[in-house]
Amino acid sequence: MIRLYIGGTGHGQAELAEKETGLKPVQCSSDEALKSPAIDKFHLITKQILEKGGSPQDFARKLIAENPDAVICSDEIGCGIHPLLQEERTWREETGRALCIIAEAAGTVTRVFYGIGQRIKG
Amino acid sequence: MRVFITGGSGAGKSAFAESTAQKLGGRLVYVATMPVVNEEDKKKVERHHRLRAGKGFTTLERPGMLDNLPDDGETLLIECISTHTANLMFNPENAPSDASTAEYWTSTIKKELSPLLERKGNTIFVSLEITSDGTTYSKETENYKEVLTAINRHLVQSCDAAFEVVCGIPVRIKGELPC
Repeated sequence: MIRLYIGGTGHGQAELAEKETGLKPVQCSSDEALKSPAIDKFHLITKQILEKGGSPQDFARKLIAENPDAVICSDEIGCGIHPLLQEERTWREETGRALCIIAEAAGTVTRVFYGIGQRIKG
Repeated sequence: MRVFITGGSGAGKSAFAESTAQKLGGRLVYVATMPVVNEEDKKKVERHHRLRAGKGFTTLERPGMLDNLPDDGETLLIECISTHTANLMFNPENAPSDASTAEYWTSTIKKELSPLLERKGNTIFVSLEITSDGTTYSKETENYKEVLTAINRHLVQSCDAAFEVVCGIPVRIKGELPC
């Protein structure tokens, strides 16, 4: 099952994920993420996908289909002032929606607050 | 019942707010606060229309004041308070320089929202998390952050239930929804 760890920047998602799952999350490309047991910084993968004209929501569906036991860590990036640049607005909204898709499929969702995990699903 | 729902951009607030309205029942009225000024806004509104389609909502557009809203037992879903606050604060006609303080706007908007907190029907307020990026902005934007967070605090205190939606998952802050 998918295990998702989310939280604000620097809150320790990857560290807690490794402690709980024994798998070390690694920052990787979208292609590598489809095979990686533990993915770090999912929010940067969505940025790369958008820069190439792709859809983070489609990628999220592909990821849960092809890598159904992945540990996924991401920053929450949607809780600040509306960015001035449209690309940044699209990135944060699309990342939020991709994370909704992953969270719906995930067995567990943990929100990390400075290293402390709050299990909000599973 | 009065319900406050917040969350970040793309977190799934609307879907949760709509299902909450359906759960509360009665005649469902969606109060849209977003002014449509460009193609990006238009796409956003179209997406919201698609998501609400078939769910039984009547839509009222309120890109200015939240006035003349029905008060006959309907369930109102107001989306969203952050846009509404920006609509008022950043409209040059509404913001004479001597009144542009955070205190003025906090007090004005609290008074404006007061009837919505006292009406008999259910009212759902959707807002947005905007202060967790640690960035300091211009004086106008910092004023806006101060006003919106004050309004959000006021609404959380005044509502019967409050939720933060995270990745589509409603995290309960206070109160319970009826089953």
